[in-house]
Amino acid sequence: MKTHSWKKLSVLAIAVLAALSLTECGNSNKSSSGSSSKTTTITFWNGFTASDGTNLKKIVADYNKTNKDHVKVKMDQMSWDNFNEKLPTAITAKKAPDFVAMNYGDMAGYVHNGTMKDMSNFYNYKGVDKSNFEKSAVNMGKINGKSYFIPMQVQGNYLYWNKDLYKKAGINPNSKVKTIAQYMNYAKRIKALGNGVQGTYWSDFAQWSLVYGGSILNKSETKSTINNAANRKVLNQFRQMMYVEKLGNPSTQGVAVDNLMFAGKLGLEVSGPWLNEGMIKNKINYGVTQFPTLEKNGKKQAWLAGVGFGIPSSTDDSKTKAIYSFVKYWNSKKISKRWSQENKCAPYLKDVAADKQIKNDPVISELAKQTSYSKVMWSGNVHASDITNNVITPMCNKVVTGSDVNTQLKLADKKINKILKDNN
Amino acid sequence: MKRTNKHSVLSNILLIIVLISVVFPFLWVLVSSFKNEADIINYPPKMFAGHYTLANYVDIWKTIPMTRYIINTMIYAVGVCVISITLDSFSGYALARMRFRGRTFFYYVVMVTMFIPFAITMIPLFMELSEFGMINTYPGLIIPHATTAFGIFMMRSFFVGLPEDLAEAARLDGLNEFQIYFRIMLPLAKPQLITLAIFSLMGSWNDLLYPMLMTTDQSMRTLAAGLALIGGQHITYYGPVMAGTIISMLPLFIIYMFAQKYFIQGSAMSGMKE
Amino acid sequence: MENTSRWSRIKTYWNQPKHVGYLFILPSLIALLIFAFIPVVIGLGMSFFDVNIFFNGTKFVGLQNFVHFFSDTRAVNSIWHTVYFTVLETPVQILVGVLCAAALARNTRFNRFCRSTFYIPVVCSLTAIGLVFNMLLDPNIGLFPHLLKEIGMTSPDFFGDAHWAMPTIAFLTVWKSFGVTMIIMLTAVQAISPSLYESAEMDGASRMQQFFHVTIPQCVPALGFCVLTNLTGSMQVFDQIFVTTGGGPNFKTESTVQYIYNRGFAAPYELGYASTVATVLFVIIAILAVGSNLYMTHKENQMR
Repeated sequence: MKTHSWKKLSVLAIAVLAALSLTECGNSNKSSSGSSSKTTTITFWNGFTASDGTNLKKIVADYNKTNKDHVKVKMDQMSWDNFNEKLPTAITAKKAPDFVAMNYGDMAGYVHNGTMKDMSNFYNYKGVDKSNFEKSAVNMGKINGKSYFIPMQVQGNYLYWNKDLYKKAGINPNSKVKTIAQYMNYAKRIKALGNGVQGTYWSDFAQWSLVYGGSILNKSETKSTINNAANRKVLNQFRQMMYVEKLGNPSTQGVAVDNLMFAGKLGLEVSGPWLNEGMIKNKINYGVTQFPTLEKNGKKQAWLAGVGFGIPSSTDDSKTKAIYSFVKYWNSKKISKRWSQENKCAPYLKDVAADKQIKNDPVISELAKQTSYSKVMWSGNVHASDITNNVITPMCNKVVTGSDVNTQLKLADKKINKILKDNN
Repeated sequence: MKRTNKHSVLSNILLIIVLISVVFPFLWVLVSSFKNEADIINYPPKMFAGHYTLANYVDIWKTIPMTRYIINTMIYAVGVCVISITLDSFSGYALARMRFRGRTFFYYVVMVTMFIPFAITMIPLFMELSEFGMINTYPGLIIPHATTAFGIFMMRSFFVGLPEDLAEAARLDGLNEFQIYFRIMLPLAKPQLITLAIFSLMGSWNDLLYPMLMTTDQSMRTLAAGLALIGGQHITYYGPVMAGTIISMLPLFIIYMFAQKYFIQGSAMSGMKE
Repeated sequence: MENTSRWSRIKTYWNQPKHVGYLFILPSLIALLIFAFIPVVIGLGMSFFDVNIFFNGTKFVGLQNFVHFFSDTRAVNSIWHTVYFTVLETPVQILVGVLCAAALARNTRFNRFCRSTFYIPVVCSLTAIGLVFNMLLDPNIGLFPHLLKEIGMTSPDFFGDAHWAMPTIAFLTVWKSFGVTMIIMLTAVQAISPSLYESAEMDGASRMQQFFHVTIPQCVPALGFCVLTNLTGSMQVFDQIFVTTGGGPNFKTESTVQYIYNRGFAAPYELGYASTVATVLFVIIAILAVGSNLYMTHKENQMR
C-alpha cells in the first residue's frame, strides 16, 4: 500500500467521524431546544429493554411533553443484569442516576449499604393518595419500616399454555389447570406429541416451595430451613419431570425456554407477565392462569414481586420534587392503567383494578386475581438475591440434571447458613 | 516428485476446507442480516430468502444508540492509538538509541508489564479511575492505555536496527535531540508506526471487558460492549443483532482490505524474539 | 541576560542523550507506574481485605479470603473450566496454525489469497464472532444443527449442553485466532536461511529429515512464543463466554475472569474476595509463563 492511499483513507475516516458527530449534535440540539432554563433534568435508569421498554419510552416522552413542573426525564435502559452491574459501579464512581426502577429482590442490598434514600414522604406529596395503593405493593418497597421504594409494577408467576398444542393432545383448549397433578398430566400428554414439542419446564423454586408448604428460611430469617420434607417433594417433582420423564430438555434455560414457547414448541410454562408480549407478537394462541395448587380447591398461594422507584443517596435534595412529580404521574390512574394494558401486568392501584376495561380484559383480570392473595417474600432481606442466584438456582439445575435430591438439599442448607453467617 | 504432488493435493484439500469454514459464517451472517425475521427463524434454514430488506439495520438503529456507539468507539480507539504510538515511539527510541544510566533496567521494567494479566489489574484500575472521577469519561477510557509494553518493544526493535552514524551526522549539523527524533527518526519509522497504529486500533476497537467496566451510561458505551449487552432480559431477535454485528465489523474490515500488509506485520512482529 | 544564559544552560544540559533520554521515557514510565504497577500492588493487597463495592465496612481479614477460596466450589470450578478451555484451545490452535503455515509456505497466488482470508477472523472482535456462532449453532434455527440432522445425526445443543458448551467455545476461539499463529509461523519459516537446507541436502537428508532437522528447530522460538501467548491469553478467557453462554449452563463454562467480574461487579459486589480470586489466577499464569519459558529455552539449547 502506498502512502497516498493511506492518507486518503485517514481523511475518509476523519470525514466519517465528523459527519457522524454532526448528525449526533443535530439530534441532541433538536431534543433539548424545547427546554427552558428553569427545567430540572433528572436521569432515570431501569432494566426494561423489550417491548415494555418501548412502551416506557413513550410514557416518559409524554410526561416530558405535558408536565407542568418543568421536569425533563432522561432515561437510560439496559438489561436487568447489566443494571445491577452498572448501578453499584456508578454509585461508587459518583456517577449514579437521579432515580432508578429496580427489582424487588435487589432492593434490600442497596438499602443495607446506605445507598438509597428514604422515600416515605412521597405518600404525603400533594395529590398522592396512599389508600389507593394495594397494601402488598406498598409493603414491597418497605425496609425497616421505611418506604425506600415506590411501586412501579407488580408481578408474579403465572401458568401459560398453548391452546393449539392442547387441541392436538386432545385436551380442551380452554381448560384451566387447577392442580399440580393436572399440570403434570397435561405436560406429559403434550410431550407425547413428539416432533420436538416439549411438555413443560421447572420454574421458580420459592413459588413451588410455598405451594407445597415448605420454607427456605426460619421466621427471623437467621437460619436455613431449606432441608425439609416439602422442599424434598418439590425437588423430587423437578427431578421427575425433567430428568426421569424428560418433559423438557434440561439444558434449555431462561430466554431459550421462552423462545420455545414463542415458536409454538412448548405446551406449558410458568413465567412472569412479560411472556404475554412475545406470545402476542408471535401470534401464539394461548391462555394464562394462576399457579396451580397442590390439592383440588386448595388455597391459592403466590409470592409477589415487582419493580419499584428508588432514589440513590447521591441525588441532590433539590431534585426530589422533580422525581416525585414523575413518580406521581406514573401512579396516576391514566398512566398506571395504560402500563397494565400495554404490558399485560396486574394493576396495584385500586382505582385501576376497579376500571371496567381492566376488568374485561381476559388476561389482565386473570393476573389481577393474584394480587389479592399474594404476599411479599423476605422483605428487606439483604441476602435474598445472593441466596436465590448462588444457592437455589444452582441447586435446582443440579437436580434437574439427575443429582441426588437429599445431597443437594444438605449442600444448599450449608451454603445458605454460611451466607447468613458470613455477612452479618 | 510423486510425493510432492501427493503432499500438495493433501494440503490444498486442507486449505479449501479451512477456506470454506472461514468464509461461510461471514457470508451466512451477511445474507441473514438482510432477511426478515420470519425467514431467519424459518426451519429448515435456507441460505437465500425470497426477498431482502433493510429492516434489521433500521431496527438496530432504533433500538440502541448505534451512532453514539460508533462515535464512542472511534474516539476511544483513535485516542488510544494516537497517544500510544506517540509515547511508545518516544520510549522505544530512547531505549534503543540513547545511552543513559539505568537504560537496561528501565527496559526490563517495561517488559515486565507485558506479563501483567488484566485480571489482576481490573479491580484496582476501576478503583483508581473512580477515585480520579474518570469513570464514564473519554480520558478514563483512553489514558490508562496511553502506553503499552508491546508498542515500546516493537519501536525499540526497529530503532535498534538503524545505523548509529545517522544521528551523529545530524548532531554535527546542529540539530538537537528532539529535532533529530522528529525530523530524521520518525519519518524513517513510518511503516512501523502505521503497523503499531493498526494493531492498537484493532485492540481497542474489539475490546469488551475494559470499556464495559469503565463506563456506566449507555451513551458512553462502545460498539463491542453495546452489542454484547444487546440481548434484552427476556427476548432476543436475531435479525437486528446480525445487522449490528455486521456494522461493528465493517470499519476494521475496510481498513484491512486497504492495509492488509500492516495488520499481518503487526502479528508477525509480535512473534519476534529479541 | 541572567535568564538567557540559564536558559541556554538548561538547553545544553537537556540536549545530551544521557539526560534527555529520561524525558523521552518519562511519560510512558508514569503511565505504566499508575496503570500497571500500582494496580498490581493494590490488587494483591486487596485480596487480604473484606471490602465491597460501596467501600462500606471495609476490614482486614488476613488469609481468610484465601481459606474461603478453597471451599468455594464455584471459584475452584472456574479455575478448572479455564484450564479445561486452555487445554482444549491452545494445542488445537497451534496445530491448525502450524498446518496452515506449512501448507501456505510457498508464495503462490492461491496461497496469498488464503493467507489474507484466514486472517480476517483475527480482525473481528470476539464479541461479534460469539454472536455469529450463537446464531449458526442455535438448536432451533441454526444452520449447523440442521446440516447434522440432514446427514442423519442428532445434533447437540452446542451452547446449552454442559458437555458441549466448552468445546464449542474453544472451537470458535480457534476459528477466530489461528490466523495469528499461522502468520507468526509463516514468518519464522520464511526467515530460515536457504543455505541451511542446501547444506542439509548436501549431507543427503531427505525432505522429511530436512523438515525435522532444519525447519522444526529453526521454528522453536516462534512456536514457543505462540504457546506462551496462547496459554496466558486462554487463561484469561472472557469475551466469547460472556456473549455465548454467559457462564452457563449451571456455571459449567464460567471462566475465572468471569467469576471475578460476577463476584466483584454483580451481587454480592465483593471486590476484596474477587481480588483474592484474581491473585490466585495471577499466580497460576505467572507459573505457567515462567514454566513454559524455561522449558522452551531448555528445548532451544538442546536442539542447538
